[in-house]
Amino acid sequence: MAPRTRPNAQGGVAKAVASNLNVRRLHQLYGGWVLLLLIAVLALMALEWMGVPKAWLGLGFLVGTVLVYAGIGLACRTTQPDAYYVADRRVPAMYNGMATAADWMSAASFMGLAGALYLSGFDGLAFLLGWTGGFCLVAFLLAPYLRKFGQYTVPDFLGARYGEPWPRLIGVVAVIVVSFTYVVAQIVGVGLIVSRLLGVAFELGVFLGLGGVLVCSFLGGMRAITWTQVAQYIVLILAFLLPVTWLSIKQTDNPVPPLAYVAQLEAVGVKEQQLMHDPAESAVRGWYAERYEQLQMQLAQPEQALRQQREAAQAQLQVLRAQNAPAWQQRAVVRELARLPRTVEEAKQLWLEELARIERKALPLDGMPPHAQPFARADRVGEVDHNERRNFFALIFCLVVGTAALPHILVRYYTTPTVHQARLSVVWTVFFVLLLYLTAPALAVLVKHEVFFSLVGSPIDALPSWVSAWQTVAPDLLRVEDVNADGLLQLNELSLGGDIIALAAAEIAGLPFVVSALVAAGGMAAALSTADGLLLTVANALSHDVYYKMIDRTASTARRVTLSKVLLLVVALAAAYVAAQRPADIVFMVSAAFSLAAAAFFPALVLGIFWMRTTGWGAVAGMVSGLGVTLFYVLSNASWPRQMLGLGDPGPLWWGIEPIAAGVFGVPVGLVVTVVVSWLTPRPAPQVVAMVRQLRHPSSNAL
Amino acid sequence: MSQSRLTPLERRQRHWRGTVRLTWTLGVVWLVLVFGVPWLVSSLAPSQTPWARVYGWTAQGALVGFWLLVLVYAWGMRQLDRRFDMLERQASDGAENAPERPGRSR
Repeated sequence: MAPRTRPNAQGGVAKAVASNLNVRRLHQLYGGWVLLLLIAVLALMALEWMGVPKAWLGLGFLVGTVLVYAGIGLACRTTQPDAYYVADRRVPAMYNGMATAADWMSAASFMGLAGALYLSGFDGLAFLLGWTGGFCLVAFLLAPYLRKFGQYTVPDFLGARYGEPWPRLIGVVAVIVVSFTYVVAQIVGVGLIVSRLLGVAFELGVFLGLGGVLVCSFLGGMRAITWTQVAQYIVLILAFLLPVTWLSIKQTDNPVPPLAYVAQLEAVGVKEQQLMHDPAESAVRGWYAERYEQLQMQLAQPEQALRQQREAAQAQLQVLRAQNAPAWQQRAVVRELARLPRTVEEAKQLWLEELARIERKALPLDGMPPHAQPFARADRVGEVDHNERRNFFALIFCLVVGTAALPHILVRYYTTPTVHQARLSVVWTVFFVLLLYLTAPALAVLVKHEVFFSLVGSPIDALPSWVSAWQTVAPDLLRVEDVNADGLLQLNELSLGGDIIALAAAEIAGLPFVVSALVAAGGMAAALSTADGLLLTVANALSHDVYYKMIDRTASTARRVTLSKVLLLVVALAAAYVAAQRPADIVFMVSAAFSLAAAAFFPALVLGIFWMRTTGWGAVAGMVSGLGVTLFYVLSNASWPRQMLGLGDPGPLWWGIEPIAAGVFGVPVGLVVTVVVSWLTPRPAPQVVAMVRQLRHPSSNAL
Repeated sequence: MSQSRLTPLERRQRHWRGTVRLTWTLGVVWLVLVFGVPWLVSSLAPSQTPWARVYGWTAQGALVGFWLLVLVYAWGMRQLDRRFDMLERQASDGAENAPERPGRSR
């Protein structure tokens, strides 16, 4: 099964000597890294047992791993363009696959995926299928051809295939829009992990995380990030698999979670039916429904509602004073008065937040659909929700096509020694991605089983310690409130944020704290590795495509690499600045980046390789119209960017498609426009046709 | 089989035809996996389906299917390359034949 990698046989003596990098040496180095990690976990476990404070252990693990990444980054520093842009094109297929997998799997995969599967059951499979299925398109349509083309960036291809300067320039703009949106989301993720783990302010967390990103990529470009990403992949996959495997052994005695979870899912399905008809559960739902109505009434007339609340409390206080009630009773009312919002605006905001929080809580199963059933809703069992079904397929479409168009993933296939290795490299990428993606649905189901069978129905003051620990650290991720005051936990009384499923997996499985520290380091590695790749892509688009290709064609190689490094720093600071403004929604930003990439690049790249007749004008018109339609749909329908830009209420949806899947309109428009305009404009020049002919075969010895 | 009697042009054309055929075949299987399977699954009768097993098979089966597809593609393309004498001889083969190689440092 394992394809053999032979860079020395293929690379020539000079290259082997220049680098003394061979595959056996790489195996030894990274094998050593795995051992080192396991030893570190065991050593810290011993320290924990001896009574060293947990905060120190967590910090030690995080700082230790980041230092190793920095060391690799420093050892790979370079001023050569081939090393800086494409890692010398000597990365063996397996290691390129591993690095691409780390580049690919962001904080959204590490934390968000299991959460989405937990919260939305079958609907969450859109992310699972979309984020893996896209690699087939990468393998069939792009990777081998881009490797044969063999330059540095995606705009390089657009420039060579469609002519200068417009195709390249529009490509650069699209690369920047897509990658910058994506990198901001990653830095927000890094900031969240760092601030939670070290207990510092979010903004400081962002800039500390940024330091971690920069030490990896600043000095060594693609060469450095490739070899740090391999190390980061190992950390993140160990951190993800260890707790799930343990949980699986604990619950089912089966150490392979992907095989073990179906039985647990059956049990979960039976329990879901019970919970839907449980009287205590429906009492809790009733309480939330009442509270929801009350809040809506308050919001309808906020001034009056606030005045009434204030007057009621004051009246109560007066009654208590008149009765000469005990001081503690009076103090309680005084405190309640002080806690009331001061202004109407403040009150409205407070109530709106609570409204959003409890919106789903009046629904059966805490608003979650029955886990295994497609497009079902807990309040309408047995019916298929057609709107959800449409959105499900639209989202899969955007994610698969977007995967095959993300510039930071596509440039990875420039870095292999040969076209054949580029193909094998996709095989390895999918293999390493699957290790996590096959396990994520198992994690979601095993945690749900734990919640349904160990938490629900048990006394609130006897819940496991991780519940109260997370409730203190992150009340937005985990909250328990006994609204019907029966002292027992009902499912709807427990609010879980998606991210906690992966982050708390180690504690839920009952593993020592050290493993939780490893999980945090894994989340950090996932976010860092993706941020590295994205930053480098943006900086290279500016330095290589704009400065070198369009402004100064005589710039020396050293000057270009130096400029890349400076730009990397500038882009990183800009991204951190935007991230520090706390843009609301990470999943939305990531998915928007996929839609934008799909609409901007997919038609131009694929038609450019497979359809000779595609012309420069066709590509330009297709990219502009695809990107334009997608941006228009996102901006006119998503509430968050509209608030940012000060626009009014969202416009009407087309066929009920959510703005997260805007690419479902942009990609077809881009394809059609490219084809029509290509027909209307003169055929491409003979040398362009000859170039495309060359791309289509790995070796040119037949020409 | 021997392809030595073919002219370079013929070899190139047949290699490309084989590539397109392989791409289409695997692409159709891929379409079925990505869109067809979830569509079929969501059309099953809700009350008579063992949902847990269907869910497991959809989630795991599709992903393993994707991996097999890229594996078959890499293997099939290697066969085509070999058959029409398109194997890369050296690591730098593809790169040196690229239309433009600016700023090579070595």
